[in-house]
Amino acid sequence: MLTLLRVVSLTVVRMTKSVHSATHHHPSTGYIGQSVPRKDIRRLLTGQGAYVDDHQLSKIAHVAFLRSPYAHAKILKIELDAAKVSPGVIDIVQASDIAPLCKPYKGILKHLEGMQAVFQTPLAQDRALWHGHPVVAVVAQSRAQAEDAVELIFVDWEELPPVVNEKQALLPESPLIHAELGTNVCWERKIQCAGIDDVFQSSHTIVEGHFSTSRHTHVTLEPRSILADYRAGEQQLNIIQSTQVPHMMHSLVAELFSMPQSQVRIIAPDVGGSFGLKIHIYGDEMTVIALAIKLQRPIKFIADRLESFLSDYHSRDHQVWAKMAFSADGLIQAIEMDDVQSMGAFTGFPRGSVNEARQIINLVGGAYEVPHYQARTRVVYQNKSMYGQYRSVGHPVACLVTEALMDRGARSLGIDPAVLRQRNYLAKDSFPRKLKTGPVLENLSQHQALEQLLEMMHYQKLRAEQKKLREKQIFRGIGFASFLEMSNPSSNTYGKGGVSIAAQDAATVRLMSDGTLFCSASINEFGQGASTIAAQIVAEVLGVDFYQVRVSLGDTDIAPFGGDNWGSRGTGIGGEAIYQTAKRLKQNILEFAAQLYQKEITRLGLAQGFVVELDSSTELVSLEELARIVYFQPERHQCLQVPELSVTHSYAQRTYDGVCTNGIQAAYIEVDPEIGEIKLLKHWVVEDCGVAINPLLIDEQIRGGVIQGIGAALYEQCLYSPEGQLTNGSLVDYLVPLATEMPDIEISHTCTPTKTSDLGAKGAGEAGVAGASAAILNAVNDALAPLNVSFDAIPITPQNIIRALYKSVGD
Amino acid sequence: MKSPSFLYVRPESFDAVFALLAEYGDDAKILAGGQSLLPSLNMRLSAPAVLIDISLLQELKEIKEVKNIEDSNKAKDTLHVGALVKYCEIETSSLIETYAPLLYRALPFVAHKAVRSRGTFGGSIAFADAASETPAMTLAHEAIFVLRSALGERRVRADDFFLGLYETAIQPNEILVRAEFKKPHLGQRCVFREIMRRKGDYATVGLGIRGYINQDICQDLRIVYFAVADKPLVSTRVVEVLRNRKMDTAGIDFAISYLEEDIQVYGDTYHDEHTKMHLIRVLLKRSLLELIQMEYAPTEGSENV
Amino acid sequence: MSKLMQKSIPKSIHEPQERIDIELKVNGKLVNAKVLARTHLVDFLREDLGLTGAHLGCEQGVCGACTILLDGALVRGCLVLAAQADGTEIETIEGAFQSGRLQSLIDAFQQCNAAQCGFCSPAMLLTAGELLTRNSKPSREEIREQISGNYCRCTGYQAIVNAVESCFTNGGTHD
Repeated sequence: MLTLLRVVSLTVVRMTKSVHSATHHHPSTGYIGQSVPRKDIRRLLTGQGAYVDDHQLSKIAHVAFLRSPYAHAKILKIELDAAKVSPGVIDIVQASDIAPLCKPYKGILKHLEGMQAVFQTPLAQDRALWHGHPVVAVVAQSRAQAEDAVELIFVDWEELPPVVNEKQALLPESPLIHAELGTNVCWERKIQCAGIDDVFQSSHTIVEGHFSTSRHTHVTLEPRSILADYRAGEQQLNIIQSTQVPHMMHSLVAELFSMPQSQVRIIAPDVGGSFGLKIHIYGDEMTVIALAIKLQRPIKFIADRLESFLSDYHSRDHQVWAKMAFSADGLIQAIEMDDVQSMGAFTGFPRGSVNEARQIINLVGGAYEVPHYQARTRVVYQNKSMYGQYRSVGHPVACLVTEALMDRGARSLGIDPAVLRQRNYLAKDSFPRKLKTGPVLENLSQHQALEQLLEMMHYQKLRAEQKKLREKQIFRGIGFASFLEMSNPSSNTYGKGGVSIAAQDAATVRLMSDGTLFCSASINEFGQGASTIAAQIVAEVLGVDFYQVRVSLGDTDIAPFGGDNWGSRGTGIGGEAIYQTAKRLKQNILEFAAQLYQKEITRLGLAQGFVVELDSSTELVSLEELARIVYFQPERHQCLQVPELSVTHSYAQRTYDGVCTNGIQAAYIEVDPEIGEIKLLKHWVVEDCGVAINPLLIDEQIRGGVIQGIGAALYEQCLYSPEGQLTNGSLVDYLVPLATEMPDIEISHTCTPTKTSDLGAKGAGEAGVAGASAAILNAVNDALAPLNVSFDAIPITPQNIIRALYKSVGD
Repeated sequence: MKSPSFLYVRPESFDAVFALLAEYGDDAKILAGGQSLLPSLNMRLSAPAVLIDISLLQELKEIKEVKNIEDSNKAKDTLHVGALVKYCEIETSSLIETYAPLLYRALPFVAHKAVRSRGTFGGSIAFADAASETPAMTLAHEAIFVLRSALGERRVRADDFFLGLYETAIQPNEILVRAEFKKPHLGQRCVFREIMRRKGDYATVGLGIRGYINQDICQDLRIVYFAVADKPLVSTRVVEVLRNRKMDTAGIDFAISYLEEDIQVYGDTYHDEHTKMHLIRVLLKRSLLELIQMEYAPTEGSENV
Repeated sequence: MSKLMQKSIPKSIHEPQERIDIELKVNGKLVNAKVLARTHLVDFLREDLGLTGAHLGCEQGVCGACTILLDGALVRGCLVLAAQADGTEIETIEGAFQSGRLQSLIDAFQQCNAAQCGFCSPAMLLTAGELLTRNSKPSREEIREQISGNYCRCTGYQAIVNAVESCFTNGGTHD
């Protein structure tokens, strides 16, 4: 089996065209570092996946919501008489019905100075504050019947003036979304730099941009889904939820519904995509839980696609003015930037909606030596859907601003953009390196990554090809994007601010009486391969076949408590917890074997399911036999204590705020200027995530992320009417990348292991998104440079290109 | 997004269909392929009381060549394309390739395979989405639509059929039976082009051109634009300028300068009217250049943007 | 090309009804049911027959997650009424898997990691499989075009293209 896997993994490595240069010394005799195909994937491929909607329970009822059609309106009256007698209706509730069951909640990070937030309730009370705000919930025998009843509800609205963009939000005369705050600014941070004006004055070259990244919605293929069941007999609340964060949900649901955690169980089954969507407390989902408790039966809610567009948390809505100063030989002298993030009507709970802005102000210019940096960020309330995290949280915006200015500088100075980057990277020997903005960067491989990239893409050849084709009026462009991506976060992100999100992870590894292994951990599977990573680590440490390891994730009754998945922490923190736990179990096994067989423990090891004598490779005892002795025949040994064959251990990353990773991307594109169409010819990524546990899984994560970043660069934006209504909230109108238009992506890696853990693994899940939009923007600007056109805003649509090139269009 | 309730009926004769239409009037909708109707029901944009599934009417499923044996000088052979012929059948029909090559070439651009296996020709015509390829190409081929009611049949020219956005000449008591295409003369050249954001999307702008060019002189040209206004538009001015003109780059540029007299353009979610006008102008030029570069080879495929 | 096999012509229904009797074959088995007029085929398969491999992503016919085979042709299950499926032969991923005809494609998807969250995968497999029945050596462009109506948010599509390609380049056979 092992041989087969090795052959298979080699074939896969060839096909994905990845080059792995792991330099970290690791006793890699087993699975760690191998491109092992996921073992739990066959279930999904054969239609045996079990997503929330696939679960059926007896007496199940379904929910549909009446949502506000207005961005801002008073709720004067709600008439339910007709709806109540609609066929199949079981119950109809409003905010006042939910209040006795569910506490209001406020998303705030106490360690962020000056952050302003208010409480919110699951259903709108008195006032609807965004288009889609849930107001009434109908429970019926079927979803269709619930929707029928919703149509019969009459609401008397009084429209109020909405705040629909950041400019408006900041004007003193604009309406206040929350009068009690006295402002529409949720949070502001300034980084001052004395004398920066003089530095700009005396610099050789200054480049500037007004950058705009559009409001996004995640569009997970499986929408938000929850099945809540309250068993009155045991007072037990069981929830099956499509979520990335069952442990966080567990803590918060118990708190909000005034129940001890011991009476709450959250199970994340198969999850059809999340990318940071399914990590928040949603009012409609909390309403479903309240209904389960009130009606004492299972209640299912699957957000349909139209309501997903209206009610999913949004992200990436930034206006960033920035300028960068260079010396004559292209060394960055200073960066100044001013960011405004347009969030939603409330702060997200519990994560607060400001983390994008937090990352951006910290990381603009982050990859480079920047002697002077001054910045301000403001996060402003809007009458729009709530706001939160989307894969790579903030990094893509910081990267776009920085990298666009770098290219602009390169053009002004007449320096090759790759050379300019190389010149400015943080010095190789300067790590660990504290940025002026706060984060400490442990160790990066930027110079090596850039060299590797230029070689992979045959850079000089592409430049020559570009030049030749320009003479034929064919416009091709090359765009680079160096990026940083923080991973393995510490408690500085949330815990320090009083938020109930764990910064540690734990794992349990147990030897079963037949010699197989069982592993549970506090991280979760939603397609990225967490179960496989866990099995690889356990299999290698315990010396068993990969298929002998059973992994259980996502059930709060089974898994030890921990931080779940976000911020690319699954492998780096969860994996480390699993690794250290497995090693402790191994130690226990070897100690027992040494005692039982009177051998020196240093001479023993584990291989092929056996305890072996290392020098002779003699099999001493099988794991199965050893387990049977411990469990069934304790009379056979003299140990004072029963040996522990089930071990639980925790790990937290406490050295840095986050473990920084780096990478660089390049895009090669062709623009048809007459019709504004962009053809994506090829894309490259060189990425450093430290020790790669499974290169196949990492590379496919990166590819998925790159495509999302391309979506941001060319297609995705939430559009609003002047009254604040979302106008393109359907899959026909909100455009996501489809297969025909997307490029092949070539990936290779550099490797600087992190010393914060034994495994040395950094996070990789978000790297693809971090740099892709910037690479595309830069490529488009590179392609159109001869036509004196340059873009600061994404998405770059055909209309944008046409308007820029044909000044008469749009008059 | 569950559909509201409705009643379903599956009649097996035209008489039964007409009786149902008479009884239910506006409360009934014809269910053909369902690829436009069912999404609209799922989104609760419409709420008919009755859906009349006409899939048992076998006559509507025929692609039939009707030879003219009487007077080969005057009338041409005709192709009858029934209303329930599916997109995927049109896509692979050599008869349609011969009789209506623009329609044939447009088909791969219609949505995706899984929609083309259910969606019907007649359903698309009756729905009359302004960005849809099928209505526009029937207009380009000057199809005749046969409408039938309890009172009998009437024939409506394509020019008189498409009245506005989702609006056709079909009366509430009628159903579309078929379209009839005349066999083109030898030497007809065709170009179909469309611009879209992603393959399979509704067109941003599109057009179909067919015509005859003899030794660089334009003999006869028909251009139909779609996805530019509330219905497909037939060119009057540009074709007039091109008639009997030498078809070279200068001639084409001259004709295109009359484009604004040819059509009035509406914007969409991502392209305002100015952008659309620009795009259709570029598309028209590229298409006309392609037309004059074509060898006489009526079944040659045209590259699309 | 058309594989439309009208095995049996559905019965006529003279009076408009809210509940409709249907008889159809699903994954080779005969099924008799009474369905509400408004129930679409995917909801019928999922709720009434427990075949949850076809997924709902939009109910608008756009995302492709509900794609199944009806009389041998790819269709959007959310844009077919269960009533319209009377007299047809339906194949879902469960049936395709059990028949073994997608074995090499499923293996290839696993080897190439062509699925992450898996929500699009059953539809993606049926769609890719349909291409291979007509074209034994599609180019990468042809593969991309075939799956252009199937939305995937996780993989970025390349691994799926690799998987389909590997089915014939590695000498694997397909059905």
